[in-house]
Parts: sequence; structure tokens; C-alpha cells
Amino acid sequence: MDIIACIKVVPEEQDIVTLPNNELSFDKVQWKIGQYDLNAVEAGKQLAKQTGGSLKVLTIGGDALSKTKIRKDILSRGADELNIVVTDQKLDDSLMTAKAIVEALKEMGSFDLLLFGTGSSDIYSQQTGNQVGALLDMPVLNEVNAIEEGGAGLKVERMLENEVEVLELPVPAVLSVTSEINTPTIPGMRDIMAAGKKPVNELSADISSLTEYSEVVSDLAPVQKDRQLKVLKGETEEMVDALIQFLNS
Amino acid sequence: MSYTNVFIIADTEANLKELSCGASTLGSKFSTVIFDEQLQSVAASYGPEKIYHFQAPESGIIEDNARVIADMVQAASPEMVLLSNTTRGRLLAGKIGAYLDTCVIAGVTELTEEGTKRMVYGGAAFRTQKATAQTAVVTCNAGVFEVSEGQASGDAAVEAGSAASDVKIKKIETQPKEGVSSNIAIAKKVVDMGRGFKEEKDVEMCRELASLLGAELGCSRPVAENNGWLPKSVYIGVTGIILKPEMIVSLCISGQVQHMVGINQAKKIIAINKDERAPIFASCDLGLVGDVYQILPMLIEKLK
Ligand SMILES: Cc1cc2nc3c(=O)[nH]c(=O)nc-3n(C[C@H](O)[C@H](O)[C@H](O)COP(=O)(O)OP(=O)(O)OC[C@H]3O[C@@H](n4cnc5c(N)ncnc54)[C@H](O)[C@@H]3O)c2cc1C
Repeated sequence: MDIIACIKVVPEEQDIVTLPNNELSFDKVQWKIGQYDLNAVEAGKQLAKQTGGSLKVLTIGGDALSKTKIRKDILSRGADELNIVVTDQKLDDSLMTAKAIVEALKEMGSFDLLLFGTGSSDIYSQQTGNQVGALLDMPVLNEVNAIEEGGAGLKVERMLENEVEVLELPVPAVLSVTSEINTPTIPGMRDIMAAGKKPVNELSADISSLTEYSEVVSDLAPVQKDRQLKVLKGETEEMVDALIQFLNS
Repeated sequence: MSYTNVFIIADTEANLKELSCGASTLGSKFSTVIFDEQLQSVAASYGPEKIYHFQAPESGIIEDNARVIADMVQAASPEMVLLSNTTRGRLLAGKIGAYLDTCVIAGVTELTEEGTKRMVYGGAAFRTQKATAQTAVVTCNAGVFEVSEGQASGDAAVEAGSAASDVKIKKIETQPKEGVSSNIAIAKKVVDMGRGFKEEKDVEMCRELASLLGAELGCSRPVAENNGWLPKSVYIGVTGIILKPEMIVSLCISGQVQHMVGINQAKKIIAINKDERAPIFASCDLGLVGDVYQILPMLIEKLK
């Protein structure tokens, strides 16, 4: 099965600094593979292996993608090939991102399965995969927790809030996987060495004419409520009594 | 700008009630899409202008209706289509948004005439966002709207939707998940179980405290995801549920930002942790520094 995993390179949350006016500063951020996209790559790697197929990765983003380190990191996770669109377009709107992906896919040849993580770990709208599926008019599902070949194409398990659905669908298809579908393997020395030799294609997809459908007004750190900050230590019984008094007040 | 025309799409009865309450406060008129004929009278009791009933194709899923719903919505041209931020709600939203060529703003924690608020960057910020397209598709987290019973006379016109046109997915079966029903998203009081507990049977202790306080039991992500002690639907935080209760009692929770964003809007936070330097003590109202295995049994005894 020929698989493409679509991933996003995101800012490391811990490097984001909150400024005194509650705005965020990204000046010092390192970039990393989105946490949940690791599950999509791992699922693709496993399925490609089981079916004797291939795994390509597609990512679209800013300058951060020009760095060799992040490219090698992506390729060390089991992809055979990396495809990149570097753009200065802000991709804040999931439909815009979905359209950019569809544009890029045109240069990548045919595939049986497109995989996404449950959401990007920065914006986390959990929509891009759903929208790519709709735009391509392919069967599309989110929250997929198990994938195997079967029936007319694929047999999958999908997590709803209070039940699990077992579904069959033909390929080509578009699936977003859960963060529990697997435990991503940590690349070993050999994977990292091999990554340097794998092909990286910079695609020429022109996405400059895409426009947003919504406007970001502000990104502000949550305002902290004033708390009483009464912290007690010492005798267990005294603390418990104080707690009960607090509950009753 | 006030909304004059809103569509809601509800996949369950609870979502139907919450979205109906939301739509009736937001818009001067609204219409309701349901997938289960038995929900007609509940839908009607909130006074929508119209009710549309779509059905999943035999051995298909309700999301297969996205295309025909999008066509119907396009004709009515509402300012907003509201759904719940559930698995089904998100897939419906994404497909409908793509068919309508418009934005989806997902996982919204606040919705006003000015715009939407949602959490981004792992809880580091709230994003205020405004749709610029004609029709915005929005999925709401549970607890965004206050829920009350419908009061309307219930004579809304019901229209049967066209048959689903996406029929490539075949449902083989559904398996129930166990023990997942919880009202935590709208609970007034919550007990919050953290990773500091040692054994699965400690869940019972936390449950006992919850029942003595009249609270629902929730947890941090590792308790649900790594330990599997509680269902994933009750873990609190940026990728779980965001709460606004009167009071939360956090037990053995260190206070990482991804968890705190889920409890920070509580009126009162009580924390019990044995580590004096745990970050949660910097954002609680009452903190007890001590061993939960000593404090909790005594607390339970005394509350009885
Ligand atoms: C992208 C991303 C998203 C995430 N989303 C979420 C999310 O939505 N929700 C979430 O919860 N987490 C989330 N996390 C994980 C989060 O970063 C923390 O790892 C998690 O919240 C920690 O849970 P905890 O406080 O229960 O456990 P820990 O951090 O392990 O803390 C356990 C605490 O228990 C205390 N303790 C131990 N034994 C005792 C005792 N006997 N008596 C008293 N105290 C004791 C310890 O002192 C410690 O402070 C996310 C992480 C990432 C990277």
C-alpha cells in the first residue's frame, strides 16, 4: 500500500514566552514534529511494512523546514521520502491548509492512503484531514484507532465518545488517527544515519493565491484568576479540618 | 452583529439540548438538523424555525450526509452552523466546511457576537478569531452554553432531508465502551485524580470523595491515557475537557500548564500534593502539603 503521512512542524510549546502584555513571543522557539503527527508517521510505517508498500511524508510550512536537522528528524521516523513545500503563507485556517495539501499532492503521484494525526499540536483544530478528504472526494474518517487491510480496502476501528465503530472503506482514503493508535518508536542511531541518504523533494506547488476564511484577532495568554493561595502543611488532622471548614464556607 | 439565522446539527440528545439553548440565545431564528426521528419532539421544544431529519444510509454513518446537508445549508445561507466538538461533530463540520468553501472554527470554549475563543499552543494562549466568510462552521466544547429544558409548544415543521450521497464507508459493527457516561463537563463540583496515585484501586477512594461532595470524577491525561484507570472522556486539559466548575479538588496533580488550562476557570481550586514545590500550589485557593494516603482517608471519614 502506498501511503503518504501529512505532518506539521510546530513550535516547541516550552519555548513560547508570555510577554508582560500577555502576548506570545516566538523569538526563541525551536521547531519540532507535531506530537500527534508522530502517531500518523508510525501508523504509516507499520502499514507500509505489513503490506510491502511505501511511506512518503508531506509537510508544508515556513522557513523552519529549510533546516537539515528537522528534515533528518522526519526521515529518521521511517519515511522513504520527504516532500516539502516551503511558504511564507500563514496557514492558520484549516481549509486553506487542506487546499495547499491538495495542491502539493498533485506533484506526488498516486497513493492508496493519506494519514493525518488527530490534530496539529499547535492549533489543534482537528480538521485538516477531514477537509482534505472532502476536497478529494475520498472516503474520510477521523479518530481512527486501528487500521488493517481487509474487505474492499481497509478495515478500521474508530473511537467515538462512548462506542467504537468498526468500518470498512475502499482506497484511496483519508484517515486521521488517534494519539493512542500506537507508541511512536524513538529513532535509533541507524535510522538517523539512514535518514541523511533519503530523498527530499522541494515541491513547487503554488499556493500563493489561497486566502483565509477567518481572521485571528489575538492570541493572548489566559488571564490568571486571583487565587487565595492559602497553602497549609503540618498535622494531617489540622489540615483536614481546615479543608472541611473551607468546603463549608 | 447579532446572528439572524443559525443552523445546529446535533448527533445526540445531550448535544441537541445544549446546541438548541446556544442557538436560541445567539440567533433570532434557528433551524435544527437531527439524525434520529425520536428526537423530533425534544428538538421542537426549543422552538426552531424548522427541523430537518436526515438518516444515515443503511450500514453507513451519519457523516455520509455531509454533502446533502451542505447543499441544504447553502440554500438557507445562515451566518453560522453550530455543532458539538465530538468525533462525529468534527467530521461533519470539516466536510460541510469544505463543501461550503468556508472556515471551520473548532473546539470553541466561548462564542459571542464578537467572535470565538479557543485554546492554542498547548494551552499557552486563547485565540480570538472571527469568521470572514458568509457562513461560519463552529464546533463547541461541552459546557459552552447553559442547558435548560425546552419550553416551546413544539409545532415546528419537520422536513425529511435528501438521502445521503457519500456511501463508500460500510459499518460492520459498533462496540460499546464501558463506563463512560459522565456529566463532568457541566458539573458544579469536580474531583480531579492525578498520576501521583499508586494503584488502580485508589480510583475507589477518589470516587468516594466525589460522591460525598456531590462531585463528578475526572483526572489528568496520564491517568486516563497511560494508566487507563478512567475513561479518556473524563480527562481534563487542553486536549481533554475544559471545565468551569464552582469547585475542583485536585489530588496528586503537579500542575502542568496543559492540565491547568482545563481547571483554571474554576471558582475555587483545592490542591493536595506531597511536594511543596508543585506548581499547582501557585494557582490554588487552598493547598494541603502532605501525603494523599493520609489526608484522603481522614477527609472521607470526617465527611461521613
Ligand atoms: C501536547 C500535550 C498535550 C497535553 N494535554 C494534556 C491534557 O489535556 N491534560 C493533562 O492532564 N495533561 C496533558 N498533557 C500532559 C501534561 O504535560 C502532564 O504530563 C500531566 O498533566 C501531568 O499529570 P499529573 O499532574 O497527574 O502527573 P504528574 O505531573 O506526574 O504529577 C503527580 C503529582 O503527584 C504528587 N504525588 C505523588 N505521590 C503523592 C502522594 N502520596 N500524596 C500526594 N501527592 C503525591 C507528586 O508530587 C506530583 O506533583 C499534555 C502534554 C502535551 C505535551
